[in-house]
Amino acid sequence: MNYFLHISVLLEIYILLALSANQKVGLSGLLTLAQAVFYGVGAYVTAILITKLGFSYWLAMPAALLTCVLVAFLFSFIAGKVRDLYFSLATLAIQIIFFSIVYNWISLTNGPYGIAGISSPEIFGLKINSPGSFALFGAVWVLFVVLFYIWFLKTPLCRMIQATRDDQIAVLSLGKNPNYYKGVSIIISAVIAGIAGTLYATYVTFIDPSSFTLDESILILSIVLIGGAGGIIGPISGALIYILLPELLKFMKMPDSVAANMRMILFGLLLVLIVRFKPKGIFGKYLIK
Amino acid sequence: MFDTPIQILLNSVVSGLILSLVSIGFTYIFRVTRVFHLAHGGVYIAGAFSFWWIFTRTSSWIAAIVFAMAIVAVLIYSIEKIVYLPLNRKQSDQSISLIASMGLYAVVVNILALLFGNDNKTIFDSISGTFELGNIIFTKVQMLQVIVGIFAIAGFLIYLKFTKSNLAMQSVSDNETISKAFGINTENIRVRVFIAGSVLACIAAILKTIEVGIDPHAGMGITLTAAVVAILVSRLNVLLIIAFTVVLTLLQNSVEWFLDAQWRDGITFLILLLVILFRTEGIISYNLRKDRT
Repeated sequence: MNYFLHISVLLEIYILLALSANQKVGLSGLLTLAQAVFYGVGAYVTAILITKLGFSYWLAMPAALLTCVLVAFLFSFIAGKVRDLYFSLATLAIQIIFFSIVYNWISLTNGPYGIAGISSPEIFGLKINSPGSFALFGAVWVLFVVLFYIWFLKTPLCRMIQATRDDQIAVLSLGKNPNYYKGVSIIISAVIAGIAGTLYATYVTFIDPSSFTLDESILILSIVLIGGAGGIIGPISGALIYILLPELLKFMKMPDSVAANMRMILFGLLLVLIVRFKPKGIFGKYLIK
Repeated sequence: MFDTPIQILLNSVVSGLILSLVSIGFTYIFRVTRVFHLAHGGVYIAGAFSFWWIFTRTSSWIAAIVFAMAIVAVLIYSIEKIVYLPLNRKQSDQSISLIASMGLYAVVVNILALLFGNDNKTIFDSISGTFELGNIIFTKVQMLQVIVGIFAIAGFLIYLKFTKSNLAMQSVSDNETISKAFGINTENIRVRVFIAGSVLACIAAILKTIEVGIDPHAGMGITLTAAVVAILVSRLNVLLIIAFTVVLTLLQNSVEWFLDAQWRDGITFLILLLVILFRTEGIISYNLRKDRT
């Protein structure tokens, strides 16, 4: 039972990450290779504030999300300067710079040794530290974000974000500033990824740089592209495929050492097949050209 | 007193020369086909493992080298025909080929990891011995790397010169549609540039395997550094690519020596970020264009 609940928590974290990446990729058309940066900023700021300054989760989380917003301004600046492949490459560069900083700034992040002893959140004196309570806590966050998107996708702001994705010049001709809409989209995406980071840090109670690498960013992007970008169902189904695939391999009696590589082979293959034959992804709304 | 800087310079020139084989391939592929070919790292690793596998069984250098190059050529030919070319025909965005390339990289690397394991593979009876000048050390493997590296680059230049490929590649790089209209077989040029670039990467992989061995995940770092060079140079000029690669390697080695090994990627990609933001056309490209007008 505990194992099932553990898988549920992981699934919730990846659903949040996929929805956050979908905000950039699906709604804004910004192919990011640095979603793990916001995930990492959320996790690290929470961990540092809790372990070094004695903050509670409910104080550390808003601070972490605020830091994510500040980092999002850098991405907004980049999105205003470059587009398409060069935006992706700039985010790739930021991802690697972020990893270098987290890895080397030992006095703050404890470098490769990581930060241990991150205390769990508390609600009305109840500690959320069992897999069951955390699965419920994560589910509340997922529900909150999904409800947000059900509302947000119908708003004029979201339509302007999508219009900026589809035809920037048309948006300019309407007297609107496309960079503003890209910026808003990046900030929303950063906040949701930051929430996933705060959840991850307080759930595993230990973080190190290896969870926030370029590979993780590529993985988050792949989840969105395979599930399908632009809507809500696509990213959620992408996260489901990613989390449940190893369980399926285990069910087929595949040893763990083989299953890890096999999962990446199948995921890579799916990515190639999706790009080649179904560019909208399995449940996507936005056609990646 | 100057021993350390000279040693760093010497090592940087040698490793920069090896890396430039990967950079030349990556830059030519990127500029001609517009594919940001991250799977170049997978091809590099496939070449290294093919070489290691045959060499450890036969002890024959020639058999291992020929086998590795054949595997690499077949692999890249299949990738181009099955994945990249259909995307090019659909006039897909560059970001799409980047995604496809990431998927291909994951597939190739993890298949190799399944077949050979994730640990580092070395060649035990590889060339050993050093030349010493005072405190400065130059290994026999480095000597081999310099000689083979120079021959490989010379071979590539001769190939470009005598097959008139360079002109055709420049043309496809500038405008694929007009090149087609002028009778250039652009699909053939694409295949040629993919194979030539991959063979160069394979030579680099073999030279590196002889020195330090190989593991399935070693390709990405090398490819990303080559990608940085491709963005910085942004011209199809072999000598410029070599010069930039050596300077970048020197910078990385200096950072490693004076700061920390983990900062080298951070500094490298900070340069990439600044170039993308403030000189998207590359460092030298604009001046060259200005000179021509």
